[in-house]
Amino acid sequence: MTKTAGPVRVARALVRLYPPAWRVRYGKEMLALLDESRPGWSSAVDLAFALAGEWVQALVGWRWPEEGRLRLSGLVEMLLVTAAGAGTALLALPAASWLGRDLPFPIPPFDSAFAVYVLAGVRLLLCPTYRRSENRRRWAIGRVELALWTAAIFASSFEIESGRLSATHALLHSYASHTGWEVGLVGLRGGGTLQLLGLGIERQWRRNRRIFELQDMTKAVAATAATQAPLGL
Amino acid sequence: MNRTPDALADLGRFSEPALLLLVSLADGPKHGYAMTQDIQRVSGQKLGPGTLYGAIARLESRGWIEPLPAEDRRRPYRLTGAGQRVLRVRLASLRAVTRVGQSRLADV
Repeated sequence: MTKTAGPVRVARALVRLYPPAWRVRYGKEMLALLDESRPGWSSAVDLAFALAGEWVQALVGWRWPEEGRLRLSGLVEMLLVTAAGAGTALLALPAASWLGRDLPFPIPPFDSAFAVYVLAGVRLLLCPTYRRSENRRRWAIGRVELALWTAAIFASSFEIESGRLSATHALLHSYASHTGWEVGLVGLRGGGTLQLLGLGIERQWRRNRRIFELQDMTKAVAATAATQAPLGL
Repeated sequence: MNRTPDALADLGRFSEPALLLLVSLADGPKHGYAMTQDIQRVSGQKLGPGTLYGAIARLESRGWIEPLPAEDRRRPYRLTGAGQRVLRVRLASLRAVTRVGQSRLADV
């Protein structure tokens, strides 16, 4: 067995996992390339990432690998926000119990977590649209989302008590005075706040993208300088 | 093709591999392995097979490269007229960036 047999086997298996249409069009060529180039583990990793991207594109219709740095940051952010929302809800219910509240049953135990999941799902559907470029129409979708999250946060700060609308802002007050579904709202509020923070981080990434592009361009300049002659430039 | 000539930048993370690939095809048709060898020789970068074929698919879908009849299992690709225009514009843009960068460095 040769030294590279493992990566070659893995790489060949990965090529066979590409979406069918892709396999039909490029499968043979890719296998021929693997046979000629004797890939290492880095090639197998490259194939795995590309494979994931092509499946996402085939299933959802958008190109995940493009602008990968931004999209990865967005996905990580979304997972963190979702986990934070779920975590807040899980922590909120025991906290309410410890404070002596009589929680209603059946408890809607993951109300806020569920809401965060739904909103995160909406975000997942929206993000490829408005991340792909920076034109105004797509930015507008981002702003609608921002407005929805802001509205959700403020809405969760208002609770109806004895037919009157009153504003509550203190987390402990919410735990101490209110019941399960209200505690769920606290989770939603926490998740929404984190989401807004995430959007701020994302905007920072978007600014950084220009720096990335400049770095790429600098590398490309070095790569192409030697080959301009054949084009007569 | 109704795309703007500098649309290479729209390829996101594939823009640099795509540029290298167009440069590689500028002096004649090549198949996948020949492209990776040429790109490595010219730029020192080794494109992974997933990245290479991701870039090929995107360039082909935009009509900037086209496949030639397969030779055994290998299929050569060649630059189209549209691809050559895109490459010219991109290289001119890079040359302008280089000029500015070098002049600014000289001022430091």
